[in-house]
Amino acid sequence: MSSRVRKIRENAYVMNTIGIAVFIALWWLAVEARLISPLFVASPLAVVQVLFTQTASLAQNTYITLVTLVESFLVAAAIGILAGAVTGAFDVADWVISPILDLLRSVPNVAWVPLAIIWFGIGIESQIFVSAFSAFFPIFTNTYVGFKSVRPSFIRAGYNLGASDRDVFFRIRLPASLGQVFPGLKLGIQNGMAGLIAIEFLDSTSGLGFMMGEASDFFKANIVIMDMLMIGLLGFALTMTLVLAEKRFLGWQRRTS
Amino acid sequence: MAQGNSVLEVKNLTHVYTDSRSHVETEVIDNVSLSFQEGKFVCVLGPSGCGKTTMLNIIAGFIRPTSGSVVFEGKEVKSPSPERAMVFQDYALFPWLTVSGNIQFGLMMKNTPAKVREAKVTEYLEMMGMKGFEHKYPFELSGGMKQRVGLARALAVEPKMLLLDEPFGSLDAQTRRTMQRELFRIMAQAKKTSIFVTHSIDEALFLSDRLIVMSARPTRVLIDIELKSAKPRQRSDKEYSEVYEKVDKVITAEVSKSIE
Ligand SMILES: Nc1ncnc2c1ncn2[C@@H]1O[C@H](COP(=O)(O)OP(=O)(O)O)[C@@H](O)[C@H]1O
Ligand SMILES: [Mg+2]
Repeated sequence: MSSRVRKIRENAYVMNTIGIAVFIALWWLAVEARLISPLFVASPLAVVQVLFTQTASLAQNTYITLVTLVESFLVAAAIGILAGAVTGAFDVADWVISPILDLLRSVPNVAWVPLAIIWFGIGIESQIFVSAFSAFFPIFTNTYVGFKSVRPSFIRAGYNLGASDRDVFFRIRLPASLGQVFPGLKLGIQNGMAGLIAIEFLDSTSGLGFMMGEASDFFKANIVIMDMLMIGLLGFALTMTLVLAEKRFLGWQRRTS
Repeated sequence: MAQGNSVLEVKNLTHVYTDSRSHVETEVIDNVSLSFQEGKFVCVLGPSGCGKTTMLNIIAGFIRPTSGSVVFEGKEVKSPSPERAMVFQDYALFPWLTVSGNIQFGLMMKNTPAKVREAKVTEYLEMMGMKGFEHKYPFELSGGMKQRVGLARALAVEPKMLLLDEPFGSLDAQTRRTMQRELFRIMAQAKKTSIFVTHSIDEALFLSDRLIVMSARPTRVLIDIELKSAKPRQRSDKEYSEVYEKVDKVITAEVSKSIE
């Protein structure tokens, strides 16, 4: 990285910080000046206080949401990548599987909650089902498109150099598709979180979604906002983990510097 | 042209593309028969869109012809094989592999031991004048260098035949000249039976032992001549200028036909 680029990047960080600081200051002022009722939007101070008054509950529910999300994501990633790769690479699988998935895709993720509860009851299984289902589609679709749109000359070059079908699948289609798979995984994390919070909110006795629902019943806006912050933070942390993995696996892509 | 040891025979090759939606048929190759002799560097010239790539893809085994056949060392070609290694116009280097990974890809497919692969990589990079580029990724290379790697990757599997589809087509004029000289040097060393598709008459005259000129679509063979004079040829050579004039006339006529 040249020093000029570094300087621009540092400036961007400074601007980001200023932006957030100004936002919090305005929020605080608005609440203090009673422009907004603290009943609806708690002051930043009241939100931060939740860290101390609800430490155990916050930590436990955050932990539960994190673990459930990671488990759901891993299930969705495994099934989504496998299904996407096979449907993208083999026409027969495409003809058989794609219509079913296109049908299922049209049903909003949250609409699966009632059925999930009939199937699995209230608890971790139905939560993982809904969350994994929500995470599945972007992962599947991106992987599918990736495997489907591998440059034909890569595949030709592979066979020309003596690759078997298996080699072409694992050594050509797979690496050639990674650039599409990763954005799918990132979307998957976001969708999985959305699905999980929804079912925790609707039917659950733990997790950040449940904690929010409860706080909302008691008009505790500060707790709700803190839960929202934790959800945002979790999503951000998991996405960043994927970004790091992406850098590690996709270092061969054209870099801009 | 029956003399010499024939490695590959193209017999009554005809190819028609059928559009999968409109079912419109495009006849691209019209009953072409050719025979390729061992060790010869053959250039195929023809107006753009006439079917050169299609013919090369059929010879490589990437696509099956509508009718006719390609016979390689006595056996009909039905699928691709490292015996007929291709150098692609768009390089088709695997961007996720280093230069070294690309060159040894074909050897890995044959389960060649790592030591032998490394040695081959070194050997071919040296031949390409690219020592020390082992760990670079394709995106770090210029067009000319990419095609050197493409050539090294094809040669590393020690094919019986080399198929080159306008390998220098995407390069600027200066780099192209350099690469032609490089290819001449490398071929003098590697001595491979080759089919080299180009639309540059100069390139063809510079490199070839034999020159085939194809017509506009549906393509047929218009000229098929052996060049006797020693390589590398100069523009001032008698044979060069004679053949140039003849080929240029025919091609110009074909191009204007295909434009009409
Ligand atoms: N897969 C395909 N389907 C239909 N038409 C094709 C296909 N590939 C090439 N063509 C057509 O066949 C003709 C010959 O193409 P090509 O062999 O690439 O010519 P050249 O390499 O001589 O420029 C062109 O008109 C092209 O549009
Ligand atoms: Mg072509």
